[in-house]
Amino acid sequence: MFIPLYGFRGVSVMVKKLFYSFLIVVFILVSCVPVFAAPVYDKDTTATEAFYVSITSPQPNESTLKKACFISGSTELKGIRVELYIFNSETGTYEPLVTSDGVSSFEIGASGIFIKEADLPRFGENKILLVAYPKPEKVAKDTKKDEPEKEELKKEQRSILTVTVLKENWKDIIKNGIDDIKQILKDMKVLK
Amino acid sequence: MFRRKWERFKAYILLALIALSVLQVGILLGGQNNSFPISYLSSFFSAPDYENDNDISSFKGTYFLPTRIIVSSSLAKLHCSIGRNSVEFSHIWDSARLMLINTLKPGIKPIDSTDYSRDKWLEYEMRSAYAFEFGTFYKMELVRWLLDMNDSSTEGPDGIQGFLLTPSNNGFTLHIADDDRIHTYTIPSDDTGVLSIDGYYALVERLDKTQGQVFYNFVKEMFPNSRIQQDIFVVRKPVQLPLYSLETTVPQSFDKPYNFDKLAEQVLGKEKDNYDPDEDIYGAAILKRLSSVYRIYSEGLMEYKYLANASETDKGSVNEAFEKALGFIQENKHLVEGADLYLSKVEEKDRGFYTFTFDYLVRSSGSIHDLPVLTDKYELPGSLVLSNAVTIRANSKRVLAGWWVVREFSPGKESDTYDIRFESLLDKAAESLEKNTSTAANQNTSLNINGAFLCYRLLPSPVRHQAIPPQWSVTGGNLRHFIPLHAAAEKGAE
Repeated sequence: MFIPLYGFRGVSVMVKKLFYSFLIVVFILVSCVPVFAAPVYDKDTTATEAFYVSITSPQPNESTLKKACFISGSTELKGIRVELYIFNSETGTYEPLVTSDGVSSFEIGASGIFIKEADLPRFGENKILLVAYPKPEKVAKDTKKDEPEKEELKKEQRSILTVTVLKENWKDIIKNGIDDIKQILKDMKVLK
Repeated sequence: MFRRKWERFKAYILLALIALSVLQVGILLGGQNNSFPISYLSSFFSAPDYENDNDISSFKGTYFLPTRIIVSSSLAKLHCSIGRNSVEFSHIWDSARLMLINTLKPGIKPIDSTDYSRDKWLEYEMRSAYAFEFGTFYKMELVRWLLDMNDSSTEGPDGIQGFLLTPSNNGFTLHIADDDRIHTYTIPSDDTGVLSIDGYYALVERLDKTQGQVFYNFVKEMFPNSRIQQDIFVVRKPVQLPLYSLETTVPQSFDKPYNFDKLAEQVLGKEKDNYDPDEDIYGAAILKRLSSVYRIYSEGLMEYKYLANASETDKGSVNEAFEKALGFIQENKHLVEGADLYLSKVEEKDRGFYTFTFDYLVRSSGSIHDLPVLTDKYELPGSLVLSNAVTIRANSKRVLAGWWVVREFSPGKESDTYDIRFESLLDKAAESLEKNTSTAANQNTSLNINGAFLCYRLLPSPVRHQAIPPQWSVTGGNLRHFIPLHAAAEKGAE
């Protein structure tokens, strides 16, 4: 790199050397700072074991006539954060799923139980990604000085939940005089 | 001749004197207290307990009203509570009451009968169209009396603690829960009266579209297979609700220094001139009559006792005793404003009498209807602790004792918006549990909630006027806890 040492009239060469040396050092230091990009969850995202949170709702492969569902679960641990995402088939990625509380991420409270309701954007299959992890402060608190972080505290739990919204309008169905979703699902051969 | 005229004259004088005597006795009777022999004589002249025999019939049905009617659709995942103030409430209840009367006639048998459990009842309730919940279990003889059913049947339920109407292809299926079984009947569509299947579907659709409608869910639908009682019924949407504080006031006539004339007029009614006033060592005003005594406490308590001994053989049937209890309530209900009374318990264990307890229900608290007012920790001298608004001991002949927490109720001037999410309640209950458990062994005690609902809690207070905020009543095991509601945070604040 060409460094003009004689470009500034009236300034001593020594000062110029120091100035440019300082710039080089700053450049090197800055380039070493890691940049934390938000994790991107996409169609290749896989589920893990449920080591932080047990999910009680939705049930596996749940079907519903309403474009909404409950997401609930429990944990025995303190300081667990949960993030909710919904898969967007157009972009091929998971996007934050905002619940009726107006949040897409939250910390599980003192009871260890969370119950959230979210609107589902589309008919057919809706894939919900639940990510659970301990708060960073908890990792620091539970890790003794000079001891490597415990492996399990670094992990995040990922659970993929599928809810199918049926296209039939519940209002049309009940006008036909049937008010039993199980019977309807059997008739539609969704349930055996 | 002269003698005859004289005798006739004496007869006229005698008749006039007799008439004057009767008149004078009447005047004296009006001005006398209850000392013998006036009280003995006055019992032949005193007015009956009720103005006429039709009085009880005109209002007894109001003590067989559901504390809650839930309209549900399993397809729409919709549950709404219908308040007593709404037009739909009387419409639905009148029709359901008729269905019940027609179903409980002699000769009509249930098509099925199965053991009752809370979980099984919940399964039925989640699929029902209308669910009718009551404050307590009503024995069938009491139900028949309250519904004016003269005929009796030995078949079917022993009583009613709740019933459901579930739509079927031909009309409705009626499930009645008594104390240990669920009895099922079919109601053909032409017998449903005003409560038709089409009407039900139209109502569900209307509720689904109504702006600001409050929707509920059972815990089972939100948090299945958990240790929390699955049939707890909680608000799902909206998550923040405006609710009023409840203003409560002790009637002015209960203030010290006691104005006995005013108290007597309020409490004794037509008998207001027949009492001995006094004040006891606990500061209560006493209105004593020959056979009974009222004690009025300035904190808003009223106590009634029948002074003579009651015979155990006078216990009679539960409806005879309940009739006397209702008469007592009817005589005194003018002391209460702004709240209904509902029957919350019937006890038969005592040999000579029944015990009926009633509690207050406030019809409108803002967005939520029909919140109960739970009376807590009112202690009377003699260490009797009241945990209900009205407690009455009665047999088939009379009321033997009664205790009443007398209040006038009105909604507060302004409402606050509260966070009423069930999740928030669980977190606060857990925090409260952590604070109150002292040993390390108890720290892991898990939340074991078997009941939760919104209410107002009425506690003793030295002041005449109180404003009480709404709060949660949570029962776990045999204990009840009250957890305050917190103001709603802004949405998205987590």
